[in-house]
Amino acid sequence: MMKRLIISIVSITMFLMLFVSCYYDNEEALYPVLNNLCDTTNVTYSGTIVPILNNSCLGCHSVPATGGSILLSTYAEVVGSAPRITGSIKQLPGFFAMPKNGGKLKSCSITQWDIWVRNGMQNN
Amino acid sequence: MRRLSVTILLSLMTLGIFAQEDLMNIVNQSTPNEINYTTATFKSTRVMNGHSIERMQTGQLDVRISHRFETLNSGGYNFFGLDLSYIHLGLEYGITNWLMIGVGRTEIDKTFDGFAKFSILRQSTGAKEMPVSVSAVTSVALKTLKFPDQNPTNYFTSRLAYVAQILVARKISEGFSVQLTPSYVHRNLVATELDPNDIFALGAGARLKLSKRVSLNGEYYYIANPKTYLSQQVYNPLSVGFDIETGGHVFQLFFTNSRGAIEKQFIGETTGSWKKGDIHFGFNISRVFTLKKHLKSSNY
Amino acid sequence: MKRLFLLAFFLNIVFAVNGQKYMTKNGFIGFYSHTPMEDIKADNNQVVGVLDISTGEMVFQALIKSFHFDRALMEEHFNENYMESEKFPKSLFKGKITNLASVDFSKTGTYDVTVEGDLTIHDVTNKISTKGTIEVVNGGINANSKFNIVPEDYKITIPGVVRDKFDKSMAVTVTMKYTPIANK
Repeated sequence: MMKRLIISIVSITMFLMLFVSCYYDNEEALYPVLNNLCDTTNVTYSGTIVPILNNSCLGCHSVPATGGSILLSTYAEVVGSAPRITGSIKQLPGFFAMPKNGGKLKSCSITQWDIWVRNGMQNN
Repeated sequence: MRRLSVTILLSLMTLGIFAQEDLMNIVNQSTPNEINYTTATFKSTRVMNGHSIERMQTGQLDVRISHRFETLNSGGYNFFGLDLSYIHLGLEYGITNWLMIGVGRTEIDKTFDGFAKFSILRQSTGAKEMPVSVSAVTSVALKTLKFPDQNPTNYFTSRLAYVAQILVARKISEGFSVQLTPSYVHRNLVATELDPNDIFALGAGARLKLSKRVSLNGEYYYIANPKTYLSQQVYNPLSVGFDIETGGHVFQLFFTNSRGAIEKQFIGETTGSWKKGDIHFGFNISRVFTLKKHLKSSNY
Repeated sequence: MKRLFLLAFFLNIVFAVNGQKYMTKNGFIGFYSHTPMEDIKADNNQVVGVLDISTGEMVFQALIKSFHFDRALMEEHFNENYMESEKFPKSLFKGKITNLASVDFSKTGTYDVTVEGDLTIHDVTNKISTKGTIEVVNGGINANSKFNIVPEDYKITIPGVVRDKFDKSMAVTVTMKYTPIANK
């Protein structure tokens, strides 16, 4: 019993030491400039949409991964899947939430997508 | 003369009965009054999403594969969510019969997780009476999903989350067990000023045995933090389902509103609501392998 | 007449109390099943047994939870699913040596005996008869026996899916090393 008690205390203490790297951060405070800056005026396919796709979508939605048989590596493919993209990134009922493994996109990115769609999904 | 022989016969008969009853008394008195530890409070080391009081015995390895599909309200075209699943893989091992560790990986946020479960008290009757079993779980989760490129500096510590829980369980009868799980989740980095880095929750789990190998389980975690003004609306995770045990496998089939299978994810990151139909079908498959045989049997 | 009755009665009491009784608290019972799929083996070294050499009667009692397997999971299933040891914590044998006259407890040596009695497992009692040996040694008596039991005879249900992992019957081995109880 004594031995068990000692080992438990030592292990729990060692584990709690991990808590030393315990922070109280949030992205708003940590990256204030970025979060308050959402470029909604100059939304283009190559300048705005492609970086979002690269960061959050093409990991799965390109060859060879081909998530859910949907490819988003070309402009045509993106336009073709646009309605489903809208539903998925907004996590609306009836759509699978996307990005699947990365949590929801920043609201700035979702807003920029909406603007690009509203502007006619131009290949700019 | 006849009466004598009848008498002797009768007394010999009673002698026979007395002798066996006498032997029985000696046996009963000598049988040691042992401590009778309660076993099998739950059928598996998880109630459904969260930990149960059960542990792996020394030298036993539990291979766990967990799926959570997408929501039922995805509609028929998406086969009610079954077309897409989130997977968690885990390996859990009993180091001693009071300490169990586990490692796992889930695809959500590409998270690795590790935990240790300490068995502190065991429910028992007989020589020593203990009304409940108590265990402690500590775990760490590491998110390995790439940071978005735009961040100026990314801190490794931003990827970490810690969980500490105390499990208090009681097997009330052969067929009914309950467990309370006060939990604390700490996340180093959250989205906004209003998202809490510390989450306090109280979990409650119960199981009702329907037959020798099938039980009905329920689990609910009440998150004490206010749920208003968060970056994403968060709900309390609720799961209901069945445990089916077949030899070395335990299958847990259930419906839940959480996508995640680890504490850090289902406590505080459950964005689905039962009322809105964000119900996921999910299952855990647990297969126990004995790596170390812990008793040498005699040869006979 | 009454006096004769009383005399006989008292004589019997005297005999009952002074009957030579032997006991053990660490008797051994083990069971074994072998199939190409799996070997199942368990030991119980805490069997309490009493033997009365004047009548040949023997009683032994084993706690189900004291049967230990080398695999913890197997032990858990044994208790939870098969033996239901929460409901039926003990198994019991009450029987006697039928050929008591052929055993001379005063002389060291090994004697073949037949034992008959009631075996209660999982709250089901069946009559069993088995051969065994009584070995009279200095300071005690050793009793050994091997017999087979069929789980279904004791309402122990083994589901079809795993039935092939068990032999049709389990080979049971009993080894009791008795020492005399001090007379009261």
